[in-house]
Amino acid sequence: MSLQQISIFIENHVGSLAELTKIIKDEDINIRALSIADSSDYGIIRLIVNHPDIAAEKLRSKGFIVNISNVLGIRMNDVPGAFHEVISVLAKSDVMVEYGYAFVSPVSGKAYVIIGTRDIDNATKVLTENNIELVDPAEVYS
Amino acid sequence: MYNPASESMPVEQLRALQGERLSAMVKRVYENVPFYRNKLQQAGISPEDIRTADDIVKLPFTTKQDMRDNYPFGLFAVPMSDVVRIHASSGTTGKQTVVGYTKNDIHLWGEVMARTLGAGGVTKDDIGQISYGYGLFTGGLGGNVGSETIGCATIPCSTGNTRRQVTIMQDFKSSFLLCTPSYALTIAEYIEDNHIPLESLSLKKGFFGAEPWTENMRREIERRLGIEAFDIYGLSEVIGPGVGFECTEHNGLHINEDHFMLEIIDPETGKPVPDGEQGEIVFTCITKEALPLIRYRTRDIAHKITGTCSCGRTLVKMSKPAGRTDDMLIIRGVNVFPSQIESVLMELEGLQPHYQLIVEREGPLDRLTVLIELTETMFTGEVRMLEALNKKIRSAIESTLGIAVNVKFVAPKSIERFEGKAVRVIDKRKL
Repeated sequence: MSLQQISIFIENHVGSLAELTKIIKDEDINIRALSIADSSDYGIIRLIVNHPDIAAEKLRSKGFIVNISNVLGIRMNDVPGAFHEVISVLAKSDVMVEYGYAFVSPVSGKAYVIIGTRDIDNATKVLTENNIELVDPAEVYS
Repeated sequence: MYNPASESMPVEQLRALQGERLSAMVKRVYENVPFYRNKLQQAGISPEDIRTADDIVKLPFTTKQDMRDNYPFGLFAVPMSDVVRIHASSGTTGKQTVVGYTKNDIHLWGEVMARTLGAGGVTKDDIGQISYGYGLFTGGLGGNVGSETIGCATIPCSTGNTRRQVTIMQDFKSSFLLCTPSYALTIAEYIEDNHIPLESLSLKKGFFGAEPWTENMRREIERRLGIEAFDIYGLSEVIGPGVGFECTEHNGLHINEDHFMLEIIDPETGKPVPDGEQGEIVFTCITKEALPLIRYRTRDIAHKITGTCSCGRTLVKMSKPAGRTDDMLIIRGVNVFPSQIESVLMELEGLQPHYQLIVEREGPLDRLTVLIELTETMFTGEVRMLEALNKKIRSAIESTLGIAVNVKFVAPKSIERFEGKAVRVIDKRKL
């Protein structure tokens, strides 16, 4: 049930992000979720897109450093305490969350969080056991 | 040990021998080489001033330019009728460097190369394949004379025609190989591509030099050819291969200092550096007849390795040369060579990234930043891993250089290339 996330290394310059997004746009690829992590010298862009393989290949061919990894997409109700419930389940099972990013969909009334963890199999298992809904890759890649 | 009496001579006896030989050599060149006579006179030194090994610091240096100015035979200390061999190194920057040998010099060459091979355990029962170039280059004939001096069956393959090299290796049962490290890898590649089992070879040892190579390359050669690899060091101006050699400790090059006196100097001041510190390698040929160079500045950088060697040799040890003085930077008073940083990077998990050094001055302080182009093997997508890698590289460089540096990852191909080669140093200091 995991999603493929593309991580891209970019230098902190004006325009380097635009260069990246143009490549994605020109391939007619849709960004479903994204985060920008930054340090003083560089940034790491994380993307969930509808065609991760094509996006990664295209970015690599343009000289970007790309890494594909698996992350979990979690769907929950957009109400107070929903995220806490998810995190509590993971914490109880000793799953360490490395990073995450979230967004809400006003149409469905749902909130989504993407979670990166090295313990993805265990996280999938405990979340499913606790009836927490994971995002099906088919929804994202459609 | 090929020559235990010389290779493990008590140090005091060795110093006395060096002193005698140095004194006799200076007398000889003073009488026979007008260039040196003038040079010594200008420095106010007479041959009588040079009595012990320590007196060497009184003598003036010889440079590559001096060799060019006296092209081709001006520095020879014997009449041409006594010269039996001439070699020359290709001059990519200027005239060729010409070197000559008397009969005794060729014997000496055989002796020091026999020590080199002997340190790797070669005996007269071995079969030697010499795959350095034969010709004006000293590699082929230097290896050849050493192998024959030991009494090995010697195969003068020279370079090229890898298929034939491997056939000879199989059919003639070569037990040791001399060539450049990169050619050893070419041979390994050929063997793998043609599915030739290593068991069909009798190769046990290899002696590699004449170009820079790393510990990683050593491990790769050893694994892919199933041999023990020894580093060898030499330069034609001194004699060719045979100036320095590795013992089975594989930790530094023993210098045949009963024939070639080693000094490590500060390239700026010309003063000897304390033992163990990096500096320019300087050699004095104290026994050679045709071309006895006095304090020849090699422009190669290395340091002496102090302490005794478990192999029992008393001959001084020197690190593998790490770069050229031409590239030297002085940062906060510390001599820094770009190649030192390169070797650190190459030793770290075999990274071979493009890098660039940026030197800036902030107030009174110099700041060195190492830009490293990121590669996919270095990138897991996590900030934490990048920070950890950054820290690992930084501390490895800092412990090698002894000064603080910044390490900054940059995007691929962002370091400018000059005719395909990266520009290694950008010095922004305005002094």
